[in-house]
Amino acid sequence: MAEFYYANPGPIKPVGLPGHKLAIWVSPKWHCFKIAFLEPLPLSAPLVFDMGAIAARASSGDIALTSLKLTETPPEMLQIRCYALDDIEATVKRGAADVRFRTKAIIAKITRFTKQIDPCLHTTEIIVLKGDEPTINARNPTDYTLAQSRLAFHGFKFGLEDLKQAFSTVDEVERALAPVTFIAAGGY
Amino acid sequence: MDERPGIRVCKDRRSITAAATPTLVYQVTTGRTARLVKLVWYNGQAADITLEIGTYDGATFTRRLPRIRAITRQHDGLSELECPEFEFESDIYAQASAAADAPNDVEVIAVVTEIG
Repeated sequence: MAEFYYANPGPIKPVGLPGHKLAIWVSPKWHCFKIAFLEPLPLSAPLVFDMGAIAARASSGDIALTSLKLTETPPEMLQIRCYALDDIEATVKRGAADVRFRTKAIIAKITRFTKQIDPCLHTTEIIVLKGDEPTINARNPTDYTLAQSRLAFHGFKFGLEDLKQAFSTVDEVERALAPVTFIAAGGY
Repeated sequence: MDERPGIRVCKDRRSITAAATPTLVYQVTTGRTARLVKLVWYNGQAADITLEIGTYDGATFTRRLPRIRAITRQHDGLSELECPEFEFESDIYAQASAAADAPNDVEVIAVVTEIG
């Protein structure tokens, strides 16, 4: 039986434990892995990223969070949530191009209000694979310069075993690998 | 109780240097409103003045709080308990019945909760 996981409400919990299989949606397929290892990443200063000073109503431009760099062998994955420490509107991208939290017409941002209406931050959760380290574009919506523009992250890092299988549909994954947990990295 | 998400913001003090001249005290961030939660002022004039807090559309000043009597060469304020917490949908201005360049100016600083 497949289990679907994506950003469950409540405190962040790992998408699986060592030995569990994952099918990760990276457009246009479900890529399959087995969890080999996991490492908690508690909220702390090394996970606070500062996009720098931003003039009134200006943007930082795209800034890749290279400190979150992951290894390709073995493949690694991040499951992280974040919140804004400063008065910014942060656009989150998976890699340089895949904008997260979007509909056809709008792109939702992470702001200082986000944590107030979503204290567990589950609506900010993203899954990051090697090569897709988050890229942030922070905008200053105020009429004064922000000296810093910080986002604070926390979550889990996973070491994965690549099962070297990819499928187009959930049914195909289930037939081949059930039980398996489905999660989405984006790019739908 | 207002359960809308809001963030507390305090910007620099502003100085009123001319009588009956609306002076920007707090510029509300576009797309938000601002509830005034705290106000502190100092009257540098040699006589008591009347201080008004309100909005200004470039032509008309509209008072939003009751007039404030500011005692000569004294500071005073409205604490969070006392402040009416009027919700401004545009920038917050102040004007004084008398003011001049420092040190005879009237200084005002506002603390607001921005809602958005």
